[in-house]
Amino acid sequence: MRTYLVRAVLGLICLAVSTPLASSQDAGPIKIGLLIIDSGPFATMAKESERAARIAVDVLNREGGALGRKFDLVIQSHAGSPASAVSAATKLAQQAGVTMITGAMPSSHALALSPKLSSLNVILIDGFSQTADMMTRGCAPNYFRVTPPDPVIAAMMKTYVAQSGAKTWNLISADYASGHTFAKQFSEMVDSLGGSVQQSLFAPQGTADYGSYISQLAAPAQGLMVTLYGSDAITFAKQQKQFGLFDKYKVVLGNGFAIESQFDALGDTVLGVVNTLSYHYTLPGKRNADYVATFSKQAGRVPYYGDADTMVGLELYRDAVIKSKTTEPAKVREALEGLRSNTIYGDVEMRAADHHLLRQLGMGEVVRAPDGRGVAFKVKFLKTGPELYPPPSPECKVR
Amino acid sequence: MSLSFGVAQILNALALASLITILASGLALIFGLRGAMNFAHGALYMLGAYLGYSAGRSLGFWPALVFVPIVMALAGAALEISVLRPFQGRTPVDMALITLGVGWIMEPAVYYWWGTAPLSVDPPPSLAGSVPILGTMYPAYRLFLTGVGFGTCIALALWLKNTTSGMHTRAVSHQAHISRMMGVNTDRLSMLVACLGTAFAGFAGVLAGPYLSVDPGMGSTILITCLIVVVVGGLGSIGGAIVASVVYGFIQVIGAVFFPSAAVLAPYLLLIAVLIWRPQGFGRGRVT
Repeated sequence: MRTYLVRAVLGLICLAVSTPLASSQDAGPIKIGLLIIDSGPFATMAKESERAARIAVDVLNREGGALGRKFDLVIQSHAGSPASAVSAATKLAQQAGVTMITGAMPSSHALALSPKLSSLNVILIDGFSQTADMMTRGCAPNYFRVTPPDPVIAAMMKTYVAQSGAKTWNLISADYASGHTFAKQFSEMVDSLGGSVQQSLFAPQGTADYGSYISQLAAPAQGLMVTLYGSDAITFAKQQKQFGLFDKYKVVLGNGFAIESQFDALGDTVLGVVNTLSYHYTLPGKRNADYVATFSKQAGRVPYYGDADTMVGLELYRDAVIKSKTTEPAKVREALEGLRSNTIYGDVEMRAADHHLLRQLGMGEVVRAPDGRGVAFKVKFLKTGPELYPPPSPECKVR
Repeated sequence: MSLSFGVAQILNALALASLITILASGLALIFGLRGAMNFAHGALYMLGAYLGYSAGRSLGFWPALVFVPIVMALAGAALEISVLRPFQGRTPVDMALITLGVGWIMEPAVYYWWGTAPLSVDPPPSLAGSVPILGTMYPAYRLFLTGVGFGTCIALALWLKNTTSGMHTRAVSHQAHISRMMGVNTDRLSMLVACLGTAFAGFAGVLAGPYLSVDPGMGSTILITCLIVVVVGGLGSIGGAIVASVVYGFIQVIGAVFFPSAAVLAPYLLLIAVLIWRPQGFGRGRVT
């Protein structure tokens, strides 16, 4: 009898705790969870990520929100490990009552989070990670991705690498999931073009001294591929300049390395680098022009690719909520699958088979800014999603 | 492996070691006297780097190299008065947690003033180029960093060995009670050491500016390295910390060249090996 009583009381407590959360998603603002990292190399992006999400929510709310409700941003910071990301996402889902999560998500975090999403009953729209694994074994029903993954980046680079005439390559990549998968994809691509990768080095996150890596990369090759991110990218760029490393190569390519959000700190250390470019504020279309104007007014600068990916992730979520007429994750997931949407990127499609957005990607060269102060991107080319994305992998199970 | 490649690797190891030496010496000094592991040391180093960035932009690199350690010495005085002195006698774990908390408070303050975006500091024009050494062109700033780093530690060692205050520091770190009975003013000495330790952190921060990126994660990353170096060197031992820094630098460089996939583990393997083989570390005891 006592056991039944205890169970009944516990049941009532659970009901009391869960009911307000459940009902809060049927009325009032639609809560969007934003994960940000407050320590380590990715901490440098925290404020920018938050601002990008706030502006995106402002834009969508000014357009009327969804289902007559406004969007509300719930920010959850964490220490930057996969475990802390899972813990932060759990807090967002179970305590803050969000039904959609986005934000800073390195590949290892995406891999850790994706299997948990169904049990947390949230949709995750990833505008950050790049690992190929999320197109194969990492696929999950509630995981969707806006960012272009490594195989797509490698496919996009293929034309450029062939045109560059560089046959021998050295690689330096971040020693974590994304760096390894990209290095593998790039090496295979170079092989397929009849070239060879002479050195493929991996530098741990937070490396202080790249001197030994730079000395090894000084061994002759025609091309250098750099896949380093955040503050690691800045440290490497600065130290290579002191050694004159880039001057020894015919072509230097970057993947996530020379990015606009870090141009102030990178300065002329990355002049001449040809980097992946997934978005440029000059992209055609009225919707993009309006977004650029709003963003520039609020942030005092034009939007970069991370800002735009955040915006597109939220545009897709808004459209899926309107289509499904609910914020219930299972229904929103169905609406997102195969969703064709008019976004700041133009008309794009969220591929149903692997939950990846078929979107544009290209390359830009770092040149001196027109005003002579600092550096800027000169767009070399942008290709459309259907031109670049490989067919969905049979390994990817989203149901 | 060519001679020039080998020379470059040795110089790389020494450059990294010199920066760590300055930081670890400050940490070891405070531990030697107070028996407190200052977990705010990484945040102090980060603060020094950010102050160096701002001072460098307005005054130039050389004035910043003098100005910032003075400001950080004042911060050290504040740390001594508000944290180290009131909590003296507490357990090492208490002190570690308290100083960790101080570091956690300082970090958001730095974010507030300077933001979270990484910043970059250029070396002074006179050190911006490279110089030829045994067939390899090597960045002048790294050579400067190496010289200044080890020079600072030699100066510290000379102070400890040849001055009255240095002798008192050594005495208090070994037998605080007896030193007090002999008339040594331990509070004043502790103030001096706290100021020196934090000034070293600030000095290292300014020197790190043109070497690394100035970013919010720099303090926590290097704190782990410093703790490994201080433990491997022998808690509180300056000489041990210098030796451990050099060993650390070489292990990192050798690891990156020959065992790249294990390089990240190398410092921890060193720590485990030393704790098994020589638990007291390389040094001969506190402040030696």
